[in-house]
Amino acid sequence: MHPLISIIENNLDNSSDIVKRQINNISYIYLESVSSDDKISNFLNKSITNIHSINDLFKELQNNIYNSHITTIKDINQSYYYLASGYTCLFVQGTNDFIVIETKTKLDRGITESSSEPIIRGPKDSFTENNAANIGLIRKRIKDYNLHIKETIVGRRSKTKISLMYIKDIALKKHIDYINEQIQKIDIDAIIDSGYIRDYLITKNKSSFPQIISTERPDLACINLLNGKIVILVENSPVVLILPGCLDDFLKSSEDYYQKNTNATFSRILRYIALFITILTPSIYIALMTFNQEMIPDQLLISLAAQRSQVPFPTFIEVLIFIITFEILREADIRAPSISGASMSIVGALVLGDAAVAAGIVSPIVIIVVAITSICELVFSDMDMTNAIRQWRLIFIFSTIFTGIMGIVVAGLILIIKLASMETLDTPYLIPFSPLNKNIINDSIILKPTTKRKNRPSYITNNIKKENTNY
Amino acid sequence: MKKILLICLLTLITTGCWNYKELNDYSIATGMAIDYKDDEYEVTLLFSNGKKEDDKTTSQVTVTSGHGKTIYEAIKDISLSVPKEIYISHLSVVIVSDTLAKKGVTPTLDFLLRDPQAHQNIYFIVSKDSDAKDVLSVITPISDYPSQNITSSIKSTEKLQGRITNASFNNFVSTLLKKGISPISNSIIVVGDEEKGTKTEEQQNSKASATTKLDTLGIFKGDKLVDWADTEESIGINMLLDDVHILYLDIPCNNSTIELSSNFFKLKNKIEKDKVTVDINVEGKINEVGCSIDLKDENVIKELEKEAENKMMEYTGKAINKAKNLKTDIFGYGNMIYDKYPKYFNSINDWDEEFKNLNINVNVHYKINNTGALQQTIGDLSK
Repeated sequence: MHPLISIIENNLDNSSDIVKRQINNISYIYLESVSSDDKISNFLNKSITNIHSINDLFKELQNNIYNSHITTIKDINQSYYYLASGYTCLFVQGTNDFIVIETKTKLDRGITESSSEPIIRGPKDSFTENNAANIGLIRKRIKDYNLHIKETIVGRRSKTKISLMYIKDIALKKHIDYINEQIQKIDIDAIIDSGYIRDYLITKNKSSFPQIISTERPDLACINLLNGKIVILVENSPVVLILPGCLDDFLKSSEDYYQKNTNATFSRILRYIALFITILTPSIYIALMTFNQEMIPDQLLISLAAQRSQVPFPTFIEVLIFIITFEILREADIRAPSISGASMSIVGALVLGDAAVAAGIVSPIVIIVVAITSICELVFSDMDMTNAIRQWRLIFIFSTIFTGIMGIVVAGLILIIKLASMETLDTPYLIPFSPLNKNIINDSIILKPTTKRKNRPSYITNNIKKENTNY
Repeated sequence: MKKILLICLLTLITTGCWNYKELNDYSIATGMAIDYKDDEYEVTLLFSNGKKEDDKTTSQVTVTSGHGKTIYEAIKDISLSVPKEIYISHLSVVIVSDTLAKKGVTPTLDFLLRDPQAHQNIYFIVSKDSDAKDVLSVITPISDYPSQNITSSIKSTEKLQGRITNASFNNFVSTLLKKGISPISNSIIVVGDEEKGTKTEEQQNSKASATTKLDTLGIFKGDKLVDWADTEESIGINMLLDDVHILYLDIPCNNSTIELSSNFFKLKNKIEKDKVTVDINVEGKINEVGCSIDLKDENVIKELEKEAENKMMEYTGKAINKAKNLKTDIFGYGNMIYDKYPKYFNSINDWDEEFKNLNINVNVHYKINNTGALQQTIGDLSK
């Protein structure tokens, strides 16, 4: 047995998944938890018969095994990374150099349908935990030689691959360099998911509103790549990050581009309406009920007064109780195993909704208000967007509790100022509305047909004209 | 940053929820009636009870009255008997008794204009031959709230009937403040048994013991009610005020009538110093033919048009005569002359005297452009 093998074994403290073998004067070691036994027995064992020098072995392996990555290494410290990645280390008696050959086993669930961003019409595949497969999902959609990948290994212990994807002649070099720089700067123990690195990418004007698009959908990643955005794939994470993200991006779906543009326009208008409804409804309700009753139409006022007459709490407490209840219900629904989901909805809908009204704890209109608020919130699939909406809804509610409609106006001003002053990679957050960008205004609320959309967004690319301009 | 946050929070909290009021704390008044008795105002407010919708056993409304030397005092008197704060932002109708209207309505208007809570979109109505309080108390089977009943009937009939006016409180006041014009108002009467009509059981009856009914226009001189117009005069007044959406005319024919309705009404005033010429152009259609005539005959149609013109002349003539007799310029010709010849108007001492001698010429042109779905009459068809 080669002396280096025992050093490796010692350093790994004789972990139970170490497998080592000696055939003649060649010894090899691999971790069975990440390696494929079949590959090793079928290809490796057959190739290493009577060999005396490492060069012979390298040649022999290269000639016999065609489809695996193979390289010679001098530094024993590198061997741990290769072993953990599913490589087999081969040692020849009397040499300290050794060969690593890829004998990876498949440790992922395969490409499945996206569960968090489902669409009706369009490609159904989604990213997985496998980095190579993720790159492949993008590569097979854009077969352009300008599609470049920059790979960095980050994380002191996890040694996670972070791949930067961009289309060279569309994306701006300064943005690529900047992101690359930020990624190089990352110095943490481990990166378990792409969420770990988002704080390193956005360093200034942080806000609860997301500035990075995160998606599971390869088609959405490709649409953004083609617009000059930069996609970051993190090994072992099915969620890719896309930079820069503007408010408008979170109100788009990749499905918009697959259907008739008029229908997509309609859904986009609905999404914008939903955004306003979900942020403002509870605060408007509180303002109307406790400060500005004169704005309610006569008949509605009388009916509201009748509903309120049984309720002992102030209006805002009523609303807060119900909003918090709904948030808890939602959180429980996400965390709970799907088996108990049905009983939860029964308890949530019947007990909380119906019984609370019957018991006189809340008035029916509050349930309507909270329900419409929550339903509109569900329009947004991005978790960060939902959280931002939730946060601002509370800000609006609290400023309304004290000052009524005036509070809504003030909080609204603060929100607009905040959003308008945000920037990601030199991109204003409210683009294309503020500042008005004529290049992409036909791909915002109103989606023009594909033949009319001839420009790429000018703020992230210099290559503005799309190739379909001769239509 | 923390300091700024603290300041923001303090400004919020130290305001102490200014203006904060729960809906439960209010008694919502939807109607107001003002009577004048024994040198005192009697103000009656109609409150919505705020009962659950399915609770039909109790009346949806409560009527409470109070007395006082001023309207405000009377309302304070009411608040003694009402457990919650009185809320008059949603007042939809103000009914003034004819006795008070004859005395002058300015004090009443002052309160409603001055109070910041009251909005100006109220209907202003004079009750005819009964106390304003009684009008407000009548519960009708169709609408839950008497005040709602009144406002909705004004809204719906104002477009369909030529004889009532869209006299919102705002219109009334602005007319009152203008030179050379006097306001008009709607009137309302109670038909049937007033006592019975205030009971909740009324809502279960299919035939109401008492209902409120919009009546003809009241003519004001300044802020005082001087007389009631009759139906024909009311239509004439509205025609001259260009406040007609659809004009219905009954034209006698043999022993029956023909009903015409207008779908186009245009009025043009030509103002000179001592003469006003009114051109009215109407296009209309035939709604109902009770007698046997040949509608295909051009001469018959011309005859009908002529009849309609005569009828309109009759209405307007009656209205003008009435106004001239009462010496009140409800048509606002004085105001138009003031707009055109301000110096001349200011040289007149008493416009109302002058109005009596004003030469008003009305030219009417009626054109029937549609005979409806039938060209003949049923009687002709069956032959």
